[in-house]
Amino acid sequence: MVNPIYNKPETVQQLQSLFKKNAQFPSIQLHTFFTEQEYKKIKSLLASSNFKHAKKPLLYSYFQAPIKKELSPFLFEIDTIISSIINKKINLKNQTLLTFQHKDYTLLNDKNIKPAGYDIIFDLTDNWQDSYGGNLIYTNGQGTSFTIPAKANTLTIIKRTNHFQKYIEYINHYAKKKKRCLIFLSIK
Amino acid sequence: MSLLTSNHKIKQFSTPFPHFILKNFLPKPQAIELLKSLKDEPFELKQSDLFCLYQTKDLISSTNPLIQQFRTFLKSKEFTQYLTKITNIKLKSNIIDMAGTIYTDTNYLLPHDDQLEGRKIAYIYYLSELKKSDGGALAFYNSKHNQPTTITKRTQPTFNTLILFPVSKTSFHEVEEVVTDKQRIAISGWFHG
Repeated sequence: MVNPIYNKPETVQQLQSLFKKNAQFPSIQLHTFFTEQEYKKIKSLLASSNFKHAKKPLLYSYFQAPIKKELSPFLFEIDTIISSIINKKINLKNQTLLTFQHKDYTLLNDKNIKPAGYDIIFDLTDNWQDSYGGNLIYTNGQGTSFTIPAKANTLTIIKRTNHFQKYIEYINHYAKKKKRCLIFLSIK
Repeated sequence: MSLLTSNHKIKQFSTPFPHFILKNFLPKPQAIELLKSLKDEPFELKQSDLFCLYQTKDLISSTNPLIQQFRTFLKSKEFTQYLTKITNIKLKSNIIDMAGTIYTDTNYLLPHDDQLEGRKIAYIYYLSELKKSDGGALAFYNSKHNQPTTITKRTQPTFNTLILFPVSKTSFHEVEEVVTDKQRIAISGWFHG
């Protein structure tokens, strides 16, 4: 179950206006998104997921796992909250579950420009420190960038123009065996 | 007068793509003086999705005479003709890109091929020495269908060593993360054709 605060009409109203506040990069982060109990359930589902390493050196290095069916109810809850914040009925698509550890990264690519749209990111990264790298960074390639640091149990919603593209910063050796875990979602 | 040492040795390799290693490139005292000069240059932190490292502006703007002497030598007719002889690649003398780089703890340069209009030969002249356990290796990728696949060669920085490789569709390389406080110091850039 989602943190009950995010179902209150007055919270939704506040979130709606916060979301529109930054005209260049409309975005919002919902911390402590699921209740502690639900978040633990999601974590245990991830722990039993079958992650495989994927690497195309010019594009990415990470571990990817198929989204388990058991995650569907949680994704439905995300869907509902987002619909209320952006004030339109949506369907989540392209659900991707990734983990990043030491030496992993993604790179920007001119041949792979993502069209404008909403990016939804659910962060499941526990005990992460800035010094490990691995930030999620949105850049317009002209000196403007927005950094989204790792924060467990946090849902980030971004309305992205095609000028802004994202990458995951290289994770350095201070991360040791720690993992940055993210579910990326987009909207139909 | 040539800056090259009489005992410099050139080694040629063909895999995963052609490259050359010239050890003892300059007389040692000159290499030491060049290192001191380079350390006096202003370095700036450069960060993007591809890299995190410290770099000078193009050393064409340096006012240090030793750096200018080194630059003049590398772009000289004598040296570019020597490179043409060993690589069979026609080069324009007097055109060279040159910057100082410092990689320290956690710094890296991810895989890329260096291809950009005019660049013919890439070079890296090392002014510091790192052990395997320090990281900072120059790593070369094997490729398939002009895409990098796996790293098949790593070279640790060795003081006073010049590495050269023709820039091509398959010259995929990276600088692996430095994992110590030691500095990986080099002068690098491209010869043009």
